[in-house]
Amino acid sequence: MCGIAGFLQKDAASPPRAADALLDMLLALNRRGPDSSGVAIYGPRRDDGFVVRGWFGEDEEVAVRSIEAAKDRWHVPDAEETAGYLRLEIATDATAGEVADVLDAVGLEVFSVGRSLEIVKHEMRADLLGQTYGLRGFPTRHGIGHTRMATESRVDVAHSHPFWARPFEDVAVVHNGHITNYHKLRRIFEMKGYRFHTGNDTELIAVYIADRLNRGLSLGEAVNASMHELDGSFTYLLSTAEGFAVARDPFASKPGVIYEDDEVVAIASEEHAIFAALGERRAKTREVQAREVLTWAA
Amino acid sequence: MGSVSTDVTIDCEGLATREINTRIRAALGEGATELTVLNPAGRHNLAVALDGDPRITFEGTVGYFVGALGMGPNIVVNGNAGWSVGADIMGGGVHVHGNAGSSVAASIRGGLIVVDGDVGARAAIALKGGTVVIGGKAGYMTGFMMQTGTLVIGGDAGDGLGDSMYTGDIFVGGEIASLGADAVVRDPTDEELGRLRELLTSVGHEVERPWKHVTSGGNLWHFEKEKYELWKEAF
Repeated sequence: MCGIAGFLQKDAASPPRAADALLDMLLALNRRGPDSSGVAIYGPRRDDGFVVRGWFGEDEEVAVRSIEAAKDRWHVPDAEETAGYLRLEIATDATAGEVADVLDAVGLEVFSVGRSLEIVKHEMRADLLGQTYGLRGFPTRHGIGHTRMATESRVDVAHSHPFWARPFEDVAVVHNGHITNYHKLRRIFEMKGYRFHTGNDTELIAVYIADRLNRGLSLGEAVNASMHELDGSFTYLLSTAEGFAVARDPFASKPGVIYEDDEVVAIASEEHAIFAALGERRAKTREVQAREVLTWAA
Repeated sequence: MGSVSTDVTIDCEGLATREINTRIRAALGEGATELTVLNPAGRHNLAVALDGDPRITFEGTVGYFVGALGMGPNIVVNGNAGWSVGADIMGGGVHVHGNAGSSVAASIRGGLIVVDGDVGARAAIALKGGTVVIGGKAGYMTGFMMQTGTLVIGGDAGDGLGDSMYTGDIFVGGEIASLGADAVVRDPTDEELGRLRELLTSVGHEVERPWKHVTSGGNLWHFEKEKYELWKEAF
């Protein structure tokens, strides 16, 4: 199972409402993934540095060390702790990968580093996630989300979706399915110097796509390339600061439903999740087709 | 004894799926013949494994397996439906006045399943009888391994149509992206077109289209060494 959701506002003039829409969709998808829920959302852009989201859990020491490590190296205009999460705003010339490595070294589980990306995920229902981390009303115009029913790898906060495409700023992915050539591809990417931080196959999709983007492919080209190289069953959503893409495997083995009009795009594993965000708009949704790749810009 | 109402309305709001199905069964047990179900909200497994010939109308979108395993009821969905509409039914039918997900009418042995709009992948997979009518487009591997029965697609069909079908008839009104292993296109006979016209008129679908008839080429019925290449392709 697992539920995935994506929401994007096309109309730049409309007030941001993607965070609320995603939380409503994920709550509707709770039965597809009671283990955890999470979102990747895009707030105001920091051109002079990054927003970091990391997990210290119950180890307060890790939070203290992380803040110290950050302040030793960079200007830190804001540091906030909420229920096991550390959120840092930092001004720096360092790369997202360097920032993540520094914080990793002091024990923080770094979930996202981006100019605007923030990943928040936990072993709780989407409505509680929204409440706990104050996500309702978060000023994002697009984002992706996930409810997890684990069929491989551990059930904990780090193995929940979304996954950041470390070390590439602002790229995140959610996925319903399995990547069956995971171990082979992981070894290939490790030989290229990428490091993996969980045993979850979705992390591989994130790194795979980000590697292609880094080689100059467009979002659509990178996702299309994945159709030939990722083996298994998948419907996945991949987001960047500019927009997102959806892809469904060549055998159409995992679900995906789309609603699109002039104002919004909503994608979910099941249609009722789209209705949870938009109200019931009959007959305007359709299934993503086998091998179909679609991209949108926010 | 009070008179039993034959016309019952059930509102799903606030009810668990099991409670909805229990109420549907209870109403049928008391002699209801017309059920209206409000606010189904995409719930899965609604009105499954029922017999008799009641008419059950869902006002809104339903989830997976609506009306599955039925042996007679006529189910109407005024909305869209998720995966596996009417899977494995033996008789009766489901009519979706909207779009539906993948695996519509999987493995049915009888009955009539109609979707007015588009459907996802693998509609009529392993069809063992009965009739399936899709008004719009059908996705990847439609009619995969169908064994007998009739499938009508008003719009376009995706890749791999009728792959490894044994017998049965597929009629397509639109374009076929590609045929599956051992599926062949023929021109429909006047008699077949007559039956098609009758069927489509009865379900309120457009009749006049440039119909193509897809059937099994019969080359995969028995293994023959000389046809090894064909088998390799099918696998």
